[in-house]
Amino acid sequence: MIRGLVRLALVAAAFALGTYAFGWWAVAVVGVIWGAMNPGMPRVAVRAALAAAIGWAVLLAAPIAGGAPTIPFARTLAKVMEVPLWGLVAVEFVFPLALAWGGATLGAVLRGDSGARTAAPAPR
Amino acid sequence: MILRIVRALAGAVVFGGALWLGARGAGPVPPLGQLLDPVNGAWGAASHATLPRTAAATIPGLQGAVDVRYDDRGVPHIFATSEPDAYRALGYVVARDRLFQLDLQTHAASGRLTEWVGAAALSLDRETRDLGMPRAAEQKLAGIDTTSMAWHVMEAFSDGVNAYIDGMRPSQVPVEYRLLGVRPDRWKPINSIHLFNRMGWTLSYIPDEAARLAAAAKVGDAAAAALFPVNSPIQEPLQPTGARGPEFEFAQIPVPGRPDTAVARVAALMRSLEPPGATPDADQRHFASNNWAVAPSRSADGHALLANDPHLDLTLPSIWYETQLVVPGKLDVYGVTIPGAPGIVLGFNRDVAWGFTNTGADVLDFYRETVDDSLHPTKYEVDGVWKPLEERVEVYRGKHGETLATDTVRYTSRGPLMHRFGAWVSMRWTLLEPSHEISAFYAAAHATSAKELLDDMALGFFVPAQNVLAADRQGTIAIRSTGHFPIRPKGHTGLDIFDGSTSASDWTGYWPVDKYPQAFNPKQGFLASANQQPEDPKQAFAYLGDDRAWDPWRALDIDQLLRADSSVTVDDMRRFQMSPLSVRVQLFLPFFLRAVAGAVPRPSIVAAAMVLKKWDGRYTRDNDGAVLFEQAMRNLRDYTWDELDDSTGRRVATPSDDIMFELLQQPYSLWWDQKTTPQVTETRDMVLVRALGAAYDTLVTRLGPPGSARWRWDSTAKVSINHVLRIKPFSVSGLIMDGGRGTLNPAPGNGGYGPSWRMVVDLGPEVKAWDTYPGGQSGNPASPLYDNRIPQWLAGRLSPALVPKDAASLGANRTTATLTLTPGRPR
Repeated sequence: MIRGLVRLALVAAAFALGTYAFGWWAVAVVGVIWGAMNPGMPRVAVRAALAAAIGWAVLLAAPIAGGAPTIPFARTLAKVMEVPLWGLVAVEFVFPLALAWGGATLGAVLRGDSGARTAAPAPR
Repeated sequence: MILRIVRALAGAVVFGGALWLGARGAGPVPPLGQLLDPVNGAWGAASHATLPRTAAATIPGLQGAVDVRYDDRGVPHIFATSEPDAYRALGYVVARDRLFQLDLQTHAASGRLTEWVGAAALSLDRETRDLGMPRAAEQKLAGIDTTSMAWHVMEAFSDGVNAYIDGMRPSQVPVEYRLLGVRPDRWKPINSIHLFNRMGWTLSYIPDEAARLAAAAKVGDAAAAALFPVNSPIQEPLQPTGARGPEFEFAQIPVPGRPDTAVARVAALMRSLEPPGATPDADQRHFASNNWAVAPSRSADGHALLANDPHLDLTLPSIWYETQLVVPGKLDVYGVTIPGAPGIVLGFNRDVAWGFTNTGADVLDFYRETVDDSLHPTKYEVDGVWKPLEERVEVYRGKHGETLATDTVRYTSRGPLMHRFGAWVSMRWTLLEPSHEISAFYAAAHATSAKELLDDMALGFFVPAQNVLAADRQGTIAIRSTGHFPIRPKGHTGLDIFDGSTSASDWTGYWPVDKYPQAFNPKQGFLASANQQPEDPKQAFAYLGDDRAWDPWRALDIDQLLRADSSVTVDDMRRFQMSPLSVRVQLFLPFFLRAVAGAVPRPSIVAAAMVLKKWDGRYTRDNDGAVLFEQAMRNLRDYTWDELDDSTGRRVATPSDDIMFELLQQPYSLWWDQKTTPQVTETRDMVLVRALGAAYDTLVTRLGPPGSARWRWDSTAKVSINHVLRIKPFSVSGLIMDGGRGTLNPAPGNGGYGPSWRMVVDLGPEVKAWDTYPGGQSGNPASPLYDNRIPQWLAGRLSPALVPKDAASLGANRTTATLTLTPGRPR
C-alpha cells in the first residue's frame, strides 16, 4: 500500500518536474515512458493519469501557497472561456489526465503489455 | 489479443486527441497545452501578478548598468548613464508590463491582425493597408537619418523590448497570447512608426467632406454649407482675440433645398471612405480633450500651472504608461508614453511641462482620378500626361503563415487609389508623408522653456496636428496648433473633391510656422484648448480645416472657469478637470423654459418645466434634471433635423449643437417644421415644447416619475473601460462618474472616448505634478496594478508624481521593486 503510494508520488513528481522544466507536452512523454517501463503493472494507465493530475495540482497549488492570486484569476479565466469555474477546473485536470492515460496505455501496449490491467496478479 | 488492440486503439485516440488539442486547439478552442499548463500557461499571469522585489536582466548593447526603481504606484524610474541606455531600459520596462498591448497595436497598425485571428480580421487589415499606412511607415523609416538621435532612440528602444522578449520565461508570456494561441513577435524599430501612424489614423482621419456632402444630397448645397460650415458661429479660439468672452456670429440658415441626386452619388462614395465605427451622429464629439495653462499673474502661488486631460479610447490596459527617465546632466523627464513610443509623449522635465489636445485640422483631401482602365488601371492622367500607377502587392497571412488573400493597392503621386462606387479616387493625407515625431519628442524632453518646446515640436511633429500647450518655470505659458497644414489651390477648401486630372488641384505647400494658430503669454493670463476652432476666422492665414466633429462647449466651460478665478490653485485645476457644469446648458435651458412659459400647460410640460427649473445645471450622478435635459436635446435634434433623414429614417448627418443654437435665434425658420405633421407649420417654440414634453413622457415610462430611484443621471450615463481585445471579464463596466455632454469631464457611457490621462503641473522652483489615468501600470489582468487607479480616476483625485533626481532619492518606503539592467550578449 505504502509502496504503491510512494510510487504514485514519484511518478506525480516526474510529471510535475517534467512540466515545470519542459512544458505541458512533458506529460505525454512521461506518460509513454511510464507505460513502457511498467507494461505489466495493474492499471498502469490509470495510475499515470492520477499521477499527472496530482502533479499539475501541486504545480497550481505552489504559487497559491506563495500568495499568488490564482483563485480569483481562475474565476476571471473561467468567465473568459465562458465556462463555470468547476468546468475550468475539470478541464484543467482532465487534459493532463487524458494525455497521461493515453501515453501510458500506448507505452504499455508498445512494450508488450499482455493485459496487465486485469490479468496480472496484484503485487503483495 | 482483441482486448489489446482495443486498448491500443483507445490509447492512441485519446493520446492523439489530447496532443492535437494541446498543440493546435480546435475551432474556437485555443491550444489547450499552452493555455492550461500550470506553470507556463495562462496561470503564469497569477504567478507573475506582482513584480519580484528585486530582479536583474541583461540587454545587449547597453553601455552601463541601469538602475530601475518601481514606486508604489508601479511607476518605473529609470536611472541610466547614457541616453540610449535610458531608452533601452524604457523598451524593457514597457515590454515587461505591456508586451501584449505593444504587439497588438503593431499588428493593428501594420494590417497584420489576420496573423493572429485569421480571416475575421481581414476587413480591418484591408482598410489599414488600403489607406497606405504600412507603406508610409516603411517610407518614413527609410527617410530617417541613421546618424540622428531619433534613429538611435528607436533602435535602443527596440533592443530593450527584444531583450525582455528573449529573456522572458514561458510563464511570463501574457495571458492574451495563450488565449489566442500565438506567440510574441520580436520588436522592430518600424513598429514605433506604425504606432504613431495608428494614433494619426485615430486623430486625423476625418473625412470632413462626408457629412456635408451627405447633407447636400438631402437639402441642397446652400443649406448643407450652413449646417456644416467652415467656421463655428460661436468663437472661443485657443488663440485669444482680446474679447472678454465668447463671440457669437449668427448667420441666417437657408431653408432646406431640394435633394441633389448628383451629389448623392458622391456622398455615398465618401461614406464608404469613413473610418469604421463613424456614425452620422458623431457622438464622440462631446468626449474630447482639454488642456489649459494659467500664468503666474493668475495663480495663487505665483507659478505657472498647466493641466491636460486628453480624451481617447478608454482601454485596459490603458493607452498610457507612466515613467521617468533620468540621465544625470542630460535628461530628466517624467510623464506618460504610449507603449511602443520611444519617449515621453505628455509630461514635464525640470523646466517645462506640456500637454496636447487634438487640433482636428483638415489634412486629408480626395481627388477624382482619370485612369486608363476602369477595372484594372495601370496609369492615371495629370495635365494630359499619363503616369504609371505604383502597385504594391499586399499579402494577408493567417495564423499558420498561410495566404488568406492577396490585394494590389495602387498609388498615384498623391497617395493610395481606391475604387468606390464606380469611381477611382486617390487620397492625399499628411499622415502618409515624411514626418519626425520621434525627433520631436526627443527634443521636447530636453527643452528648457515653453518657447523652445513649441519650436521643437514644430520642427518634427507634423501629424496628427496637436494643440501643444506648454508652461515653464520662468512663468511663460504658450500654445500652438502644431502640424502640417496644407495650402490648397486658391479658392478651395478641403471640403472639395478635387479634379485629379490637373496639377492645379494639388497642395502648394504647408503653412509657415509663424502662421500657425498660437499665443505666448497673452494678456488674459491663461490659455486653453478643447478641440475648438483654433483661431478666429478673421485672423486665419488660410483654410485650416473644418473639424465639425467638435463643439465649442468645453472651450467655453474652461474659459468661463478661468475668467472667474484670478487666484487659481493646483486643487482648482484638478476640480476644473472634473467640472460637471456646462455652458451649453446655460445657453439652451432658457430657450426651453421660455417656450414652456408661452405654451398650453399640459401636465407633462408643467412637470418637465418644474424639473428643469429646479435643476442646478450640473451633471452630477444623482441629478434628475440632466437626464431630462439630454433626452429633450436628443428629441430636439431628431425633430429639427428630420429633413436629413433618409428613407429608412436614419439621419445621414447631424449638425452640431452650436448650429442648433444658431438656429434657435431664428424662431420661424422652416427647419422647425416637422415632416410628420404636414398640416401644421411648426415654429421653434412649438418644437422645443414638444421635445421637452416627449422627453418627460419617455422618461416616466422608462424610469418612473421624477424623484424615483432610477431617474438619476448615473442610471443613464455609465462608464465602461474595455480590454484591448474587448474580452469582457478583463474589462470594467458600469462605472459611475459625474459629467455629461459638453462638460469637461464627460461620462462616455459606451466605453468610448474619455479622460485617458489627467495631469496638473505646478511650475515652481521645483516642478511638482499630480496625475492619474483610468487603469494601472500593469497589462496583466491578474495584477493588482491592472486597474487599481480606476477608483481614484472616478473620484477625480490625483496622486503626486514622485520625481526623484537620483535612485537614492526615491525612499525605500516608496520603492516596491528594483530592476538592475546590465550589458549582455546578443542572443
